[in-house]
Amino acid sequence: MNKPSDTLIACFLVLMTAIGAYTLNTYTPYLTIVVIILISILVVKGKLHNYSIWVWCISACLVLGTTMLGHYIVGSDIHGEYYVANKGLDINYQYVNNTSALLVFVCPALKFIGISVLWQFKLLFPLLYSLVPVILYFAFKKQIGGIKAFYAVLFFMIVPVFFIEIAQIEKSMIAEIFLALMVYVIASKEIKGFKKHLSLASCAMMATLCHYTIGIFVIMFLCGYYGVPFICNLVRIKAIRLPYRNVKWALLPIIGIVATFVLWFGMIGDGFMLTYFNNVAHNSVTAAKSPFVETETIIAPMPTTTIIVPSVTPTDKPVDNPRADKVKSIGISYMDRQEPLVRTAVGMDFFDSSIQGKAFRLVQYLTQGLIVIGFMFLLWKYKQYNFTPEFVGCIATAFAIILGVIFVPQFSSLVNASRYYQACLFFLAPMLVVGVEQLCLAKK
Amino acid sequence: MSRQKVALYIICGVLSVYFIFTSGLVFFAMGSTTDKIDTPYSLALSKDDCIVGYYTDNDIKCAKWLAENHGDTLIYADYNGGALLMGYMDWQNTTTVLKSPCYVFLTEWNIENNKMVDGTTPGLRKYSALPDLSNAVEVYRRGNAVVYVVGVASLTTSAATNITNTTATLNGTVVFFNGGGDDSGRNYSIGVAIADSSGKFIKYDGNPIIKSGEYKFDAYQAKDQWVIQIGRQYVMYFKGATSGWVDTIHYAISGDCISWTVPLGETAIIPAGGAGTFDVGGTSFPRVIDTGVVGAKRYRMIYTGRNAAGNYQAGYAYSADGFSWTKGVNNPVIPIGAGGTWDDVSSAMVSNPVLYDGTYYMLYGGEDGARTPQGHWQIGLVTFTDFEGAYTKYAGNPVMTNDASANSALTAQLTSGTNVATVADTSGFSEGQPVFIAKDDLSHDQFTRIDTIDSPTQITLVDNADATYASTTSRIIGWDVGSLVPASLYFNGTSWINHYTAFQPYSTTVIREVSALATSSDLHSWIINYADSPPIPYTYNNGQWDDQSSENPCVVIIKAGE
Repeated sequence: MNKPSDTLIACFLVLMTAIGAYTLNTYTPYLTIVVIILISILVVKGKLHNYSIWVWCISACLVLGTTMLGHYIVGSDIHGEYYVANKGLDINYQYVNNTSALLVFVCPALKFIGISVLWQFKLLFPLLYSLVPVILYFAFKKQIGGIKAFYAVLFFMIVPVFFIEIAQIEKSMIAEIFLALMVYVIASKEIKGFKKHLSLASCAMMATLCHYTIGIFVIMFLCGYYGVPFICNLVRIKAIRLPYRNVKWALLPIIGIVATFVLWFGMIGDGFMLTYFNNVAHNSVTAAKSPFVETETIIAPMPTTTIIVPSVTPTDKPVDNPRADKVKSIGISYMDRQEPLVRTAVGMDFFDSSIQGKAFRLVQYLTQGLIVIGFMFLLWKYKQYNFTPEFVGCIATAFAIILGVIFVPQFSSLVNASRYYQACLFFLAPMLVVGVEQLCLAKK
Repeated sequence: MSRQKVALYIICGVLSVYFIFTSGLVFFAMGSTTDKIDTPYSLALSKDDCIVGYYTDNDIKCAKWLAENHGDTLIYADYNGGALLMGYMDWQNTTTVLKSPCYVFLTEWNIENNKMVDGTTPGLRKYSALPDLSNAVEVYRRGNAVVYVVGVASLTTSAATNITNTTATLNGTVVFFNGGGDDSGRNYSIGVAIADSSGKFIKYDGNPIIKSGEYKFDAYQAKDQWVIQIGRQYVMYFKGATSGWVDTIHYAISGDCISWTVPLGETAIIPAGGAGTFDVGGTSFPRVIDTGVVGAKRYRMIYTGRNAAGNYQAGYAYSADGFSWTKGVNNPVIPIGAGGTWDDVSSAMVSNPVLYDGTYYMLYGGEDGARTPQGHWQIGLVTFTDFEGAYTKYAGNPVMTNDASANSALTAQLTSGTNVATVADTSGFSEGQPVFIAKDDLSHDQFTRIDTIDSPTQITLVDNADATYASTTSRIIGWDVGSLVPASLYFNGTSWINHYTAFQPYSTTVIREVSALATSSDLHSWIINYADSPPIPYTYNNGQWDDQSSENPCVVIIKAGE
């Protein structure tokens, strides 16, 4: 097939998915599943070659299949966002959605020029968000080649957080575009020096302004970007050393993102978000010092006036967390106190799940195992691939984040565990492909 | 096949299987639970389940209505209903704990599935039963989406309406009244006043609380109000007059007696009747009581209908909830009298019916064709034991008539700044009587009261004249020289209290309407309380919204905090 016909077919499929969802057509979701599996098979059979177009097609079908459902916005967090987007900036309003520059500036501006907030949320932002896998595809392609990049991105897309959870959070959708661009910049060897650091700083600040959650991830990955290769320098691991000339620019994105946090979040709602971050950090430290000792202060330091996260959101944890009660209990092990998703992730509820639940967990653990295997092979056969040292640093950071979610008390209260996992997949997704590939090659 | 290719096939296979799960297909096919983590679901495949807050247009209308009307009252809703509300108001206005007072919002999904959705941990949901709404009152509905107010208080029907509300900003005896009205009879709006410790009503600074012209139905008039309590909500029934002078009855609701909204918009609850009916020309003057007997006819209304010939007569309607009304089949229930009798043109504009010792007592306005155009409305008494039975007019009607004698031209100029007036005859006046000093050309008049009657031709007024009134072309005229129409009736244990409206007849076009107060021990003989009349303060020409009239007093008692 030539490229124009690929594009037309992809657009047609996306359009049909959007219309089907909007009209609540019963068959559309099934057809979408079939089409996505069909595309993945045709790619491996070599029938489809314009991978970027098919990545976008799958991405848009998945996202619009959620956001275009019915005549109104779909989701939980999205309603609070809808309120703020229609309301516009209120400098004193202590509400998490009021801290998103996207919602308080961009949405009202788009509304002013005639694009209703409803359609911004249902169509415009989701379409932009559907470009995230495309950007990642081009980033991964530089490192592992086109077809493997396609499957790495396919894995990223079919993790349900991408098309269910994030697709209900406008600020995250747009923020993830900047995170994806950051991944591209990190993966790119063509973008160098000051230009690279400036690009990273820009992406980091924009992502942070859109959604504080992504801003936190950005800070973590920047730590990995600069820190891990630097450490490798110190311990003389040649493969992923950081060229010393880059170090002087490291301050640029760091200063940029710290300034964004301090200025923007310090201004909005009398700085309630900074207080919130501070409390989470304090609680983590407190809990880490005595995780098995009865304490009533793990959650309590958060003053009631700064309860800012809606209690009904599925993705942003309420500050007034019911787990505080459980923390009081003596004799409950740390892992028993972890949130359900974390316990599921480490297999603690395996035997309590249904047959299909067990089957799903096995597949899920398989993908997670392949990621770990892939990273180990990457470290072993680093030169077989085209990963930049900084990208490897970010992969290592992603593993550290996941371990932190499991083992650092209160760490997962910042964001859902599922969100941590999805953010880490921005760097980890290629590892699944590397893992399978290296296992197959290892049979030699 | 190369190992690279094999690897790709394996990857494709693993991801395809993985996607079968993550797409929600397995969840949908196997019916997994939503209250614990098992297999992933998708929104697209689960739109009929509890996971998705999928909303209908009716849900959204209710959410918008709540956003505009809930005030400071919390709104109880399930997880998905609460999420919808967050799109229209600050999230802190919603609650997942049902407590009184609060609104209850049920989406069409809640009603059709008879279930609520609870959010447990992020991403997980479970079902629960609908809350017990036996004490809730429906206040707004669109399709199956509905808004309730929790808690129904029992109402007293034998006296003035007792209103309790924990959020009331008013406390004590309150009067809702009509104000405004220009020379063409337009611009009537509704205001409120509250009694001070001495019993005098003090008008609320923010009046009017319902202003005419907000809708087409009340383009010219919003008046004839009556207020009761349903649940924790105040409900005001009132008449609107369109720019074509078509009267219809509507209702408004409020949580504080100050901020009122009209849930049904232009839709009337008692519209004009069909051809040939007694109310084909319009409906007005609603008086509603809550009998307290739960059922299809818990709420009863006596209202005024205008027929094709222009006669006003009283009709009856009933309702289970106070919001949806059905007209009685025997209307009019108080037909006009035979020709030549005191109510041969109209028999309408009733007070509230008061249940006393098994009988309802009610005052009504009778219009006498022989007395047209002025002083033609007088007050009569009617009794009944069953709203749908016979209504008996008191044989001695009318029980209250106007004081036509209190009307005498000035025989000497009344100079501005002085208060001694010389008239042709003072015998028709009484000391303390509220009066107008009026110029016959209608260019000016002043409201005051008689201080002393000094001689057969001289009276001293309480206030100095605010202008110079010429001899023979100006007059002193009693405030109840014209028509009388009842408004509120109640029994305080020893006496019957009648708040009514008094008119002045000095012009066929300009009407002043002032509230009045009378008491009686038997409902037949009434003593006008000059000292406390008009109970609603009235000042003419003061530039306020109600300087043309302050009339039709609807008196209620609010007990805040109970």
